[in-house]
Amino acid sequence: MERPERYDPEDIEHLLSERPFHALLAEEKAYVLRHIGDAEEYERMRALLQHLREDEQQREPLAPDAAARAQVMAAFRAQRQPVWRVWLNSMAAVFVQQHEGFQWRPALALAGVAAMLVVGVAVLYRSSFDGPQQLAEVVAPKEDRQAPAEPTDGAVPASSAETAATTEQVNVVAEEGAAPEEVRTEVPALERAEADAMPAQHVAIPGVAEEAADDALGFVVVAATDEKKAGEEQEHPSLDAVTAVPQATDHRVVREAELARNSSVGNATGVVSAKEVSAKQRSSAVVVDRSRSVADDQELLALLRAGW
Amino acid sequence: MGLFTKEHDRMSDERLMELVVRGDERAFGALYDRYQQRLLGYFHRMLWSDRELARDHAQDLWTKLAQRPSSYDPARPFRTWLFSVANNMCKNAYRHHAVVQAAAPELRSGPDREDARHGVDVDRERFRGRLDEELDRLDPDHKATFVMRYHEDMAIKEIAAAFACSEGTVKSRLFYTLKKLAERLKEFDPNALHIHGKA
Repeated sequence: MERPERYDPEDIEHLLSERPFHALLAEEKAYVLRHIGDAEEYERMRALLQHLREDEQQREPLAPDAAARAQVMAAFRAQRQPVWRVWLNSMAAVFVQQHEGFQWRPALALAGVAAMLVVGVAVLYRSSFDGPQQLAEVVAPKEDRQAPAEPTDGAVPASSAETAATTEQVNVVAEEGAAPEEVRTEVPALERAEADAMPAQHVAIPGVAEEAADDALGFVVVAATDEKKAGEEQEHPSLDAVTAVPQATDHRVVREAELARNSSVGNATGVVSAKEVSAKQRSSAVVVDRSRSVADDQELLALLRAGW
Repeated sequence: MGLFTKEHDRMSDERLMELVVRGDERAFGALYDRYQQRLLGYFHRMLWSDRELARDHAQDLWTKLAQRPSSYDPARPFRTWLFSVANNMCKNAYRHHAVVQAAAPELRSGPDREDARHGVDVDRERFRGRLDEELDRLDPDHKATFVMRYHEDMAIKEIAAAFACSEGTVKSRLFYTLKKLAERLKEFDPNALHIHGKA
């Protein structure tokens, strides 16, 4: 029975590399002589292999060119997409891994940017919305303490024209008639300074913090019905020091509803618009006067006649 | 180390190509550094030992890869894919060379023998010259197989993958190429010289 062949041409290559013909086993010689003519040919092939390997070891490799590398890298850079697009689209590729081509689609990048913008705006809006509320809760009691002292007689701060106008409106409302049973009290600064010593809960009566304009006037406005006031008096007897109205002075009593109406009337048909109209009329009159005076200027007319 | 930076030098070729497809410039640079010299040597042997031609072809190959990295087939090993592309470029160069030779035989350029100026001994230089001549006479596939095996030191399996043929075909090509070259270069066989000297 014939044994199956153990060698193939690659094995002859192995034999050529390892051993000369005379060192081969009888079985190996038989196999080699089946593919190669004789021992001389075997030795020639063996010598060629040795030459090739020696030559390959001693051959100096071609040195890569640095300029060529720079050119290739520039070509690569020019073909690449911007990094942000790659990054955004890579997110898409993460979710849809079977389609790697997704990461090169500009629509996905734009959609990613849009989604990030929406989320960012929502987060910013929420954070900015919460902030002032917390600030108001903390700062409102302090504003009462730090309000500047007003003159006791008029209770009108002289700091700005705006507050003066508001005071004027309040006075107009007071002249129209206030209901004495509904309490809206102004407290002079000196009395309010006394009230500062009280706990904050006595000042923070519902409706007070909403009226920032009244705070600017230097008043502590207490909005409460008679029933509420009675309840407050029972619970906080010291509140009398704040809400007590000295009837003999110039203090006015204004209803909460009247104050709101006064503000809306002032905004809609108030004095401001009338003042603006009159100011415009005055400014146009000045322009007319100036044009007339230039036309009457004899010296200028003389220059114009002289052809200047 | 490696927490924020990728160690490209330690990555496999295939992993680097994944990064290249995603636009990683450093990965492309790492691949270039890894294979540029070998590609230059391959083109140099395959293209009539012409250094400038070898540099031009290597440059072309890398530029194509830079422009279209997605042309790489991830299912194939990068090394064999790269050499199969290089081999196809050489075949195109052979066709172009044949057309030029047919049109104007005087334009045929001889091999670049710059090595002789580097002090290599004359016998070795003669052997190289003769070997290159004989290689140029071979069929392109046989020549490429021989160069990949004995100059680029690629395994039979890798060569078979590069040519998309069986390993048996590669073995057969190698054996008969070696046999043919040994016959044609017998003047460099010391034993033969010894035998002829005795005769």
